[in-house]
Amino acid sequence: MADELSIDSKALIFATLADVYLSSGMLDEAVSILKDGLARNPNYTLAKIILGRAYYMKGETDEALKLLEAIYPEAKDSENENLFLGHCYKRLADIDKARKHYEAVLRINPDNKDAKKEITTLGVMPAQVPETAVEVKLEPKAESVYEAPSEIEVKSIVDIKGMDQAVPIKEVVLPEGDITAEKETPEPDMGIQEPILKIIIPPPVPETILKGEVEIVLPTKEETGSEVPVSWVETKNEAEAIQKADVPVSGAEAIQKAEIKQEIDVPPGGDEEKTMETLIVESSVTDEVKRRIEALAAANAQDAAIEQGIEPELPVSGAEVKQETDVPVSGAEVKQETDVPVSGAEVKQETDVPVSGAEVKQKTDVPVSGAPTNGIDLAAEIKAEVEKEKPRTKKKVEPKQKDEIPPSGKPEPVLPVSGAEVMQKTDVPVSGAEAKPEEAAPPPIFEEEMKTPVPAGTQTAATGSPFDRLNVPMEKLLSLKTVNAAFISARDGLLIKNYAEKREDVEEISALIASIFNEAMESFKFLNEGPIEKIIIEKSRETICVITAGESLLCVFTQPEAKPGLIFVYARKIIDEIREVLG
Amino acid sequence: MKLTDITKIPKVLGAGTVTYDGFIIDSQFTAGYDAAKFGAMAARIVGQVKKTLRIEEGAVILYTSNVVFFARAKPEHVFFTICAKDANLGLIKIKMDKAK
Repeated sequence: MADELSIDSKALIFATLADVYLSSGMLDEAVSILKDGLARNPNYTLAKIILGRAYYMKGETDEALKLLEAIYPEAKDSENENLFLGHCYKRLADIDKARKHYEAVLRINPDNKDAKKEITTLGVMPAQVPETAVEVKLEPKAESVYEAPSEIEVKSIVDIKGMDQAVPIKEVVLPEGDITAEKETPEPDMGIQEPILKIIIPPPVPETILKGEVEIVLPTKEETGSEVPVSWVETKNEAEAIQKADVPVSGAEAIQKAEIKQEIDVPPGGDEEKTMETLIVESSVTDEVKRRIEALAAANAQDAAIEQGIEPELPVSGAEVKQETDVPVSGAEVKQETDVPVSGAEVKQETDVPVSGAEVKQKTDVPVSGAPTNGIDLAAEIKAEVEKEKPRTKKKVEPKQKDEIPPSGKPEPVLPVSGAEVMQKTDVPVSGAEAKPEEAAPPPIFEEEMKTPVPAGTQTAATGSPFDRLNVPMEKLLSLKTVNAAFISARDGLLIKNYAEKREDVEEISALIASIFNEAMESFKFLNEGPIEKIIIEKSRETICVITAGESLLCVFTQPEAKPGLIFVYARKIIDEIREVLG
Repeated sequence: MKLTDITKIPKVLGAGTVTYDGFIIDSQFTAGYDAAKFGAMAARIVGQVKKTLRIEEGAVILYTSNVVFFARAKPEHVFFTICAKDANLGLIKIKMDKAK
């Protein structure tokens, strides 16, 4: 009980301390202490929420979201969990999810000011705006030479299709007196504190007065199927004409038009189905805006083409689909494919795994005669196939007996030539259903094969130590001039194999190296930097390279001037072999 | 040699010097890496190596799955460096060897 209290107390303290750090703006310290604390108490959900908050405050939104989402099932009733999930999603412009979490916060605590504020903010975002119809018509004064504003500030957010994130358009600051603006409805409070996008318009060029006509087209909610109304921007850009003109051109010729059509939802009680908002702005349009607008126009054209194209073609495409699907599923082919593996002959052939090679033919012959559907043709075919397989299987078995005997003497004994062997090694494609009987080969026959003295005896006599396979790569390593010795030891310090017979202190060094290795392992476990793979210890007279190989350690003693990269290249092969031999 | 000579090498996460009892003398680490922790670990490992192998000066290089850790034993302190696994280890080792 005391221990539990102590753990809880510690957990509470570190989380509280982290909270204080966060409040003080010491984000790194907070993250550090939270990570430490969570390493000790990985199930402390509150600390994870605070860590998520810390990540969010550091600007690591993805990390925060990952952490908070991971604990959401167990912390879904937490006010802060939902609040910061909402913040994260808001930052990622996922308005729906953000709103969902803010609403969850308000369900838990209806007085939560942050959530209320955020909900209000989200509530008046353009996703909700279409309720109010806005018609703004800006026209240049007649006969007036327009001075383009040096900067247009865009403050509200309109999600334009094709753009990566919401584009704010709230207010266009234009020189007074040049443009008249009419608004039928009061401007909604967008709740945006800071402009996200600024359109910078260069100062006007004398005699090349540019005129841009901008129409923002907002589809209705029903059209888009989403709550975000603005889906595309259309542009007509005639800037090229101006650039090509050698002499100052007239105002009419030099007009640069950028049209953005905006269609928004019909206001309740409105006469027309859609209201068109046209902004005629005499201005030069920056390249960035032109580029975006052109891209969006292209996307819009694509969408329109898709919308127009799919519906009339539906019956055609349906027919095409049918035609395509009919091809592989034709009755004849299906029958042909499915009949073969399901025939009695095939099944019998595969279930006869344990039977000796001599019996294969007899056993397969029996059901062939009674093959239910394909009759004699199939039986003859299978018979021929079995006959064909017999020499092939023999070819496979023979080298296995002579050459492929593993020298390790591992529990992977090579069976003598048997029916089981023959059936397992045949190259006949085996379906899933057919493979099962092979796997379930009856054990008695397996045992019988194991008892056969010849192959087993030859294996043991021929292979010797399982470490013999290490000899070749180890000799290569030891042949390096700078390599003095090598040995393999277990992680507990016990010597496994010594390749430094001239050294007398190998056992002692093996124990010492294991001690150092385990100490380092413990330290790095504490630091959460992953398991140790290699250690190089440089002494004045020699260098010791320790490389992990599963549960074993390969230690190589080299001269100080040895090239560690070369040592590791040679050691890699040995490591692979050690892993195979020792696991 | 200054610590910045090491830390300016790309993908070096930090470097420092620590006494054998684990107290940081000087360090320069990127955000998110705790110099005190790595310093304490450097002192612990190098101390263990010195004691076990009965050496006065030497160096230890540890490769983990995430980082590579260099520690060089000096008579009075341990000089250590942490770098990402794909850093130029050879260059770091040269700098470490030259450090006094």
